[in-house]
Amino acid sequence: MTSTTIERRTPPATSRRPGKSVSLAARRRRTAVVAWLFAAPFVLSFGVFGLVPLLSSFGMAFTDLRVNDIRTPFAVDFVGLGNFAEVLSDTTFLRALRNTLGFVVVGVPLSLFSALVLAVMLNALGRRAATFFRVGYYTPVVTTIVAVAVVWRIMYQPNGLINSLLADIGIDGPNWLGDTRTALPALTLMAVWRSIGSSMVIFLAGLQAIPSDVKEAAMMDGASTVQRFFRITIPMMMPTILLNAILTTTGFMQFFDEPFVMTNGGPLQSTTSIALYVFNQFQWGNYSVGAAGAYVLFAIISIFAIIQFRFFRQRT
Amino acid sequence: MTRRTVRRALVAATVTTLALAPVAACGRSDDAGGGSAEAGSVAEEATGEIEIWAAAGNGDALRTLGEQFTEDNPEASIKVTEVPWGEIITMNQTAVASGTGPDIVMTGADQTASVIAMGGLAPVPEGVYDEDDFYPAAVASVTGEDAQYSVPWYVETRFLFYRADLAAELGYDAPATWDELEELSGALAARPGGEFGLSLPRPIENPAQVIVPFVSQAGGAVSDGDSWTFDTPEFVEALDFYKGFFDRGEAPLSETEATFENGGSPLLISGPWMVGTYQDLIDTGAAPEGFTEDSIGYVPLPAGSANNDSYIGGGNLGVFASSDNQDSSWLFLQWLLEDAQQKTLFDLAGSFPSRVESADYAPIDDSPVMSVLKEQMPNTVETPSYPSWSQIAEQIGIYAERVAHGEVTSEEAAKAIQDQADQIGFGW
Repeated sequence: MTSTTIERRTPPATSRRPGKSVSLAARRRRTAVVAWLFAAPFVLSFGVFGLVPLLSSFGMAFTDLRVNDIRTPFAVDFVGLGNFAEVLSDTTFLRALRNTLGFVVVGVPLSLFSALVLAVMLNALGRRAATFFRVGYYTPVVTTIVAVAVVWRIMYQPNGLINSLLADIGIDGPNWLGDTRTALPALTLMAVWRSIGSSMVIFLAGLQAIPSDVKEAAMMDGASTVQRFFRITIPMMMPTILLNAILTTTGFMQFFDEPFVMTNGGPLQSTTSIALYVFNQFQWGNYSVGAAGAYVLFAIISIFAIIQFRFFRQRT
Repeated sequence: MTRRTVRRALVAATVTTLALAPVAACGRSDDAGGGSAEAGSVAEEATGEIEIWAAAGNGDALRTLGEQFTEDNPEASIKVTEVPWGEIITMNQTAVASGTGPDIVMTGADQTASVIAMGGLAPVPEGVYDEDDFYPAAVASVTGEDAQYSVPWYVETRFLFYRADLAAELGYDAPATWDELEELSGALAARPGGEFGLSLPRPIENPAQVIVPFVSQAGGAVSDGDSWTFDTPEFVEALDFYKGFFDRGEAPLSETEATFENGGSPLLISGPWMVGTYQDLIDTGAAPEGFTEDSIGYVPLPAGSANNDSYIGGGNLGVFASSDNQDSSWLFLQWLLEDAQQKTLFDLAGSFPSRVESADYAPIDDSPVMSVLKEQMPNTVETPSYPSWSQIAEQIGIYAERVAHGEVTSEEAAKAIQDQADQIGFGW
């Protein structure tokens, strides 16, 4: 009787005990085979279409492969870190790096903060109203950038919607996309508008997952709304905030759509980005340099993700 | 060693092998990449299917011509697929890498060199066409490092559009020189209600397409065949000329609502298609009041100290290196370049013949805009036909923008572009 209770309480321990009997080991092996069979379709397709291109592009970054070599991609020379040195000493790349970091440092907190505020507000609303606004804020996410760009470009024109609104309150608006000082902020604003929806939906899910009994208990103890928000909502939302922070940062680091369709990196390269730089290198047929640039971007994104993990780990 | 470490070692080994596979097998062979293939021959009679990738807008003309061709060559059939201009390079890259493509590919004059460099095109065999019969700048655009790899099918060029009515009001005729152009531009911008003078491609709109002709008009060239030559007095002169219009506020530096038809930008350099665009505005009543057919003036480009060379573009057709129907394809191209088909092409699509004698054709001479085009054609300079040109053009754009903003002088820009271009090379 006792032994069965123990077994039931900790069944994994029993089955994990190694070499207890031959039949157990055989069963374990069979389970493994079945598991691999189930995983095979994904593993195979990921291997062929994900891992192989990923690793070959990594290998490519150390060669001098160019568009002229595509018929004989293996007949190229190994150049070590030469491409990385070229990328990191290219003034265009350094400008792109500076623009991208500026975009991320301003854009990501702005996007996360606005999304969180919106999510909290929507969460407090009635169901029907919440659905209406949720659709409204999510629409930019599912709209194609090309269509959106046309509208934004018209709004940003020297005598467009934004400047005529500013003129109404007596401000002489700038030439948003034509001025080196305002072009990047203008694109940042547009990117934030485009990204708020997806962060907001994730925040909403996080908010709804907070058990109401915790809040009710706090309410009984006399905690104010503000206290409840900072002592309960925010701590319990930490995993969601971390997820959103990493997703948004990764997305923003790959800053491409806005400069590509709106400014082509101008004026005076003030909106050029790392992803645009990589894209141009590929366009010009400098595949290995493009690959090196892409892996520099990959490294920067990884560093950001690690920092965020550390930061949020300490707080949870 | 436990089983887990074995497995880990295996995974690590696999990953390393995969990552380094391209590296391990590396080492360039002495055989030069593109253009080592031997030229084929032209068939007596075409057979089999000839598949063509035509640039957008050229499919119908090719289909119609193809039907005429297959009447004489009943064993052959022509299949035409249209490819957007912007996709041509990518489509060719994919086709070259996989070794499966069509039989004939069309490229823009500024794209041909890139596709030649990929090794995608077969060299033109003897007897397909006689290059002496064609515009030299068009022939330059199909010439690779060591041979010709396409044939020039049609050409296009740019000339000067000016508001004839506004110029007449101010007492000006069409400008024929740089000085006259500057004078008219200044007068039009300064007139009551005037905004800009000559609008030039903005720095993000590939200004190289006007700067290269300006260099030629000043008597220079951006390449001497062995290396890039940007650090020259002529290039500096061209940049100064370009910059002047921005300095004087006569050329818009950013997006503007000033247009040719509303008089805000009364001067621009563009191609014959603009006449149709303006005509449509007039016909549909969308044009501003006072903008009529008489407002649209067009003349060959004003001349610099040397000539009035304009930019030449156009469409080239080449036979794909991996095609298994090359002989028949060459016969089709040979036939397309004959005088009769060059004229048919003009009738069908309005594309200007690349064969010089075919331009002596009543419908061309009778059309005011086509006769200006014909007048401009002998004075043209080719887009530098090197695979790295798009990258060089980007550098010119970057520095032209800094010059226009007054950040650097034309001399500094010329030196900087020269440095960049020397590093980049021709790209063969």
